[in-house]
Amino acid sequence: MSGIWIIAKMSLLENSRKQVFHVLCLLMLAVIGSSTLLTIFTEGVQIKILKDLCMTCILFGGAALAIALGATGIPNDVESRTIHPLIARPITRTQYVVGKYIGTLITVALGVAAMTAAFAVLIYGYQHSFDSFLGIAILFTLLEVAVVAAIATTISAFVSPAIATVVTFMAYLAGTIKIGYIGGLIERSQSGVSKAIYSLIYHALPNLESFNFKTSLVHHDVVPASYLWQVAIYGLCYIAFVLVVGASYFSSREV
Amino acid sequence: MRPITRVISSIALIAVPAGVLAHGAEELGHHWDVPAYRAEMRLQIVLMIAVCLVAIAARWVLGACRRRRARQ
Amino acid sequence: MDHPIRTENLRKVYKLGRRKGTRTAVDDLSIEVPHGVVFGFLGPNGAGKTTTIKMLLDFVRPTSGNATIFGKPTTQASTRRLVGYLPEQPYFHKFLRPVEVVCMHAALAGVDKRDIRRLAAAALERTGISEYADTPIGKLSKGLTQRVGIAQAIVGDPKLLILDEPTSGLDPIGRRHTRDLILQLRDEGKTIFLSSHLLSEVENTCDTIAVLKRGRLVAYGTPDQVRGGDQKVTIQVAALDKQTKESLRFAGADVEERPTAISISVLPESVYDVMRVLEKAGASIVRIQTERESLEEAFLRLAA
Repeated sequence: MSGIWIIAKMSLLENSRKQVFHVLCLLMLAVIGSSTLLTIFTEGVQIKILKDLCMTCILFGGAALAIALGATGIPNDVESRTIHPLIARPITRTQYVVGKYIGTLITVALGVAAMTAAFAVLIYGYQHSFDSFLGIAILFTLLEVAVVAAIATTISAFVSPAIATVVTFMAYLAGTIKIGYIGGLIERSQSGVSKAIYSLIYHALPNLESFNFKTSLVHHDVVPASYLWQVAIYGLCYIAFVLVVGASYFSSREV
Repeated sequence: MRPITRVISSIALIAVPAGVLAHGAEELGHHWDVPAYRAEMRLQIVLMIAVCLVAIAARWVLGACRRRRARQ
Repeated sequence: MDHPIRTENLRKVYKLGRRKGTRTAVDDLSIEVPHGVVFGFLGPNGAGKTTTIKMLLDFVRPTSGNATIFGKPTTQASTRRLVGYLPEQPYFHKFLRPVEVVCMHAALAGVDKRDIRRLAAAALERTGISEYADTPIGKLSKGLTQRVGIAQAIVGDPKLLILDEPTSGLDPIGRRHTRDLILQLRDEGKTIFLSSHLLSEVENTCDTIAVLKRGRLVAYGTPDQVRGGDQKVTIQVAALDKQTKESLRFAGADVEERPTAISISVLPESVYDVMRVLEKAGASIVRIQTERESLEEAFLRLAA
């Protein structure tokens, strides 16, 4: 276990110094801050739009960070040969992959935390209170981002950083519109082959919209606790499965 | 890549899917009430467990074959 | 007691694609590295030295054959607990400082948390880079980065050190310091597996050497055994006439004209015949000396 944490710490130090991390965080903070300029609306509507926009920013910002950092960690180490002294130590390739993922996730969580803090300050400025569901909504947004980071880390074990970035980004988009769009494609497809292909993609992609509780936060809708637990278990299972696939492949890859 | 190019790329990267997702989110507001969501999550969990079990079994079988070949 | 390194018919074939076929990087390599020696692993570029090291450290899997470190398969991560590795041209994350790198490697090597800082400081001191301990690696020269590599390899007290070109990038003082360190580590009971192109360094440091050529082992033994070439006796004379030169060549000597003298090289068993010819010719002998084939000459003979 200690091998995982050492690699995670190194990954965190490396990622937190990357320009893309600072740029994305500042960009999202700027967008969250600029949401206070929506004074043309009435206060009630303004708060709803602010919550919607800020939650979307946190989600996008977190996902963008997860993709940018997760897709480049392992390939950069392999290309620059900084991986050699590390895997010459008594750590398995699985520990290395999981350590890189955890380091990336912690870095992304720091970015999400910064955006959440800015959001919370804004909300308190308007409402003079915090929504009881804010913590849960942010937690599940972080879980969604964790799933994206796992996909990015796994794909980066197979391909170059550029391809990993593009594929993860496409998987992220497709995972968000999966039930509605791809589900519709399956229903409308005529041939068995296309139906099989769409079904394969459908069941392989994560159901990212499940983690989105933005509307519940904005409109104070009640979400059943059983559903929250199901989504949490689903997210953790998906992350574990994806990392197992990535680690299994990387264990036999020549570096 | 120059910093300004990175910033513009980052904005584009975020703005492009914003339209897609904002639209999608409007339509699928209460996904916890949509049975397809729960069913799909359950099915995916079952599929993931099944794939893992098949992989473990395949690995065990291949290992046994390799060990038998080594003994011969 | 198990050998620190043992390979048995180790083979690595790289697939280059359908049109280009395959390339055999290591072919049927069987070596046993004895305990507590400095083992030199030599060969020209592309001989398979780095590929062999990669197989020992499980960076790549052999096509066939097997390798063990202290009797344990190289494919197990726990085997590397006893190993310290210095890559050729070590690369570390530029933002890290030497003390952070060495501490991290000490932790990965399984050193107790309480001892990490102390042992890291000792390793940096031993490699002579204590004063640069807090300078980001991106700001260090190639030679200093090499020393950081050596420090991270020796921290954690490994029983086996695999060093790939340890003196690469070092100035003569650094090379001398590293050579002395290698000999000290050997005297402490460690086994050092050293891959190097600098034959003079290998000659002065190694107890046993193996020479690779196109993936195959072509020589194995002590430097004296590998040199193998017979001792030669070189006699320098002031001048010789043509007839005497012919007589000497007939006696089995090599006669070489030099600006200030004539050099006659002969095997020890033929030296008396040559001396008789020279005495008869009344030649004036300037110098007599015995010479051994240098390691470089042996290397060129075996691997060129």
